[in-house]
Amino acid sequence: MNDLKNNGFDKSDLQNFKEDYKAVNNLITPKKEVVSKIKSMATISAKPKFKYAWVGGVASALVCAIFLITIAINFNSGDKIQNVDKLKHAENYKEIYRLIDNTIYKENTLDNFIDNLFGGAKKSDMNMTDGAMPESGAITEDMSEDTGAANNDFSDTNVQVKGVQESDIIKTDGEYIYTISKSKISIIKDDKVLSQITHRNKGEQAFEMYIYNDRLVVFYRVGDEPDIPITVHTDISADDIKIVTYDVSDKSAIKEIGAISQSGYYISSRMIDNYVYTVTEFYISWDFKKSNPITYIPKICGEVMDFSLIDLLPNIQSPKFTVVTAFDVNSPDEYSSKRAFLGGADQIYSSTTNMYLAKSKYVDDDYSYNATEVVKLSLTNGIINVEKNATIFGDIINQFAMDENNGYFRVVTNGYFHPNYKKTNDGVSKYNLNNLYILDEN
Amino acid sequence: MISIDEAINKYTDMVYRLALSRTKKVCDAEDILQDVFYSLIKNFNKINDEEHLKAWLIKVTINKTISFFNSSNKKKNIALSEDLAYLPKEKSDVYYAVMNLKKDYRTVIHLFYYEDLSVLEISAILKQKESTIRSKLHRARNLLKEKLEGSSL
Repeated sequence: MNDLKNNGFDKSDLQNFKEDYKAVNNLITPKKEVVSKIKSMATISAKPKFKYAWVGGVASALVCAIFLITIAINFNSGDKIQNVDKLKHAENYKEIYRLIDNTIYKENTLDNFIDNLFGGAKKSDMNMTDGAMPESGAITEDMSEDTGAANNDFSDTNVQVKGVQESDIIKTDGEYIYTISKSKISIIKDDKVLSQITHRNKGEQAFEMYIYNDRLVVFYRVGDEPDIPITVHTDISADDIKIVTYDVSDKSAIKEIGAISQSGYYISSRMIDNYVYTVTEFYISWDFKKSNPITYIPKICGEVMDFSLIDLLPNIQSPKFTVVTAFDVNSPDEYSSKRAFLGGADQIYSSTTNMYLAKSKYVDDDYSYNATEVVKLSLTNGIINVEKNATIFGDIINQFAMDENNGYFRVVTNGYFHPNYKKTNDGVSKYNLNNLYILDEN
Repeated sequence: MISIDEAINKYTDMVYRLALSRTKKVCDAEDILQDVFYSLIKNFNKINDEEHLKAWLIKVTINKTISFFNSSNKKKNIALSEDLAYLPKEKSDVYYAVMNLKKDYRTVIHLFYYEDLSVLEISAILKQKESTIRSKLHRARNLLKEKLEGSSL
């Protein structure tokens, strides 16, 4: 240990050591997945921390909803309703890019990301037919299917609105039962499996379906995680969904008659008569580039959507698109209509003629509070038109908090004022209000 | 000031290498890496300039590894992760020699020779006296020499 007196290495050795050590270190890089995970953390949108508050507040809100005085405010005169910012059309891709760019790093709260990772709580109330019971208690779902003797009398998937079908993992047409289990579709009659459709391609997973006469419409999730069993809906980051239509008139030989796809992961869908309306949510990935719309515009059947089909919500807080499409089960190779909204949507409600997209947001001016942007779309024979939009105070608990009656859209919201929110940052609601809004045609 | 995306592109390698030199395990280093960038994303607006950013990242990485060592029974001297077997043999001797040092020595060696920080900068980041850093460096060098003498050096 005489070396202690000198400097360890002599100079040239030290230089060698330094170079070698650097060279080895330069070979060490983190795994790509880890880096992209970090990048997605940074990209995941700027949803307010607030989101937590309503999850916790749902229960109390329900109790309150019974007792509290509901305030009915006409849409035109309501003082808490902001009716200023109208929905507008995108004029070009550049405008869309600018908006995304502005939004994307505005707030970097990760709570939402973590929310998505661990709970997916946000979406859980959207897919009621999966057995996830709504907390509202107002509507009870019954999963049991009955193939009773009477052919024209059978219980279908329970739906919110008569005439508006909701997709499910089990369907019946009175005689046959159609099920999706582990991505395998089976047609069953009297304990016998008549035929099965197994995996189409690797990475494609069936998760919900519709049956319309002898057309079977199946939603496939196309992602890079093919082996996750589908028990509940989670926010599995599938990039796309694929909608495949089968002809099941011959139960022993099912034919595929059409397939279409759209970007984003599945939020919900409805079937009205022979038209299927599908809502997906498309997150913009972190590496979007201005010069290349392909990197930030959702795709329909592999083609980038035209900007004229994209509407911009006022006050965008999340860098994501909501893609709404329609197609006719009798021509399952093409969409009859498609739209996209920059800004996203959390909940959908659909009547036989209109669909409402609701997007909760966070308003941060003198008072911090949460509000919901509602967009009304008209659905007529597979053509989607954007009608109106409005902002209401509070969050919508789930799809059953919305209803349409005689042209009036009725919605119950639950909102908080947080005068001290910024200071305390504790997410505890200071003022809890429940509201009933009735929105008229305007 | 650079954007968060650029920061991620630029500094993940740095943070990861430092974390690995502290933890010696790929999976732990990855955890630390994510933790560090999670903090960065949360605190990004508080960071003023790029110099500050780099120092901040190093500091946070070291703090995260400290709490990592405290929170688990991983204080024992573990062997370098097998996942690094892909490193070329002739050069990795040096790396393995460094990894066989004590944690404190590894860190100063890494910061001094890999990140090219001065003794002053290291002492600011680690909140230790300059003389402490200097003597740690010195001792680490001696130990390294001892270890590497048998080989090419």
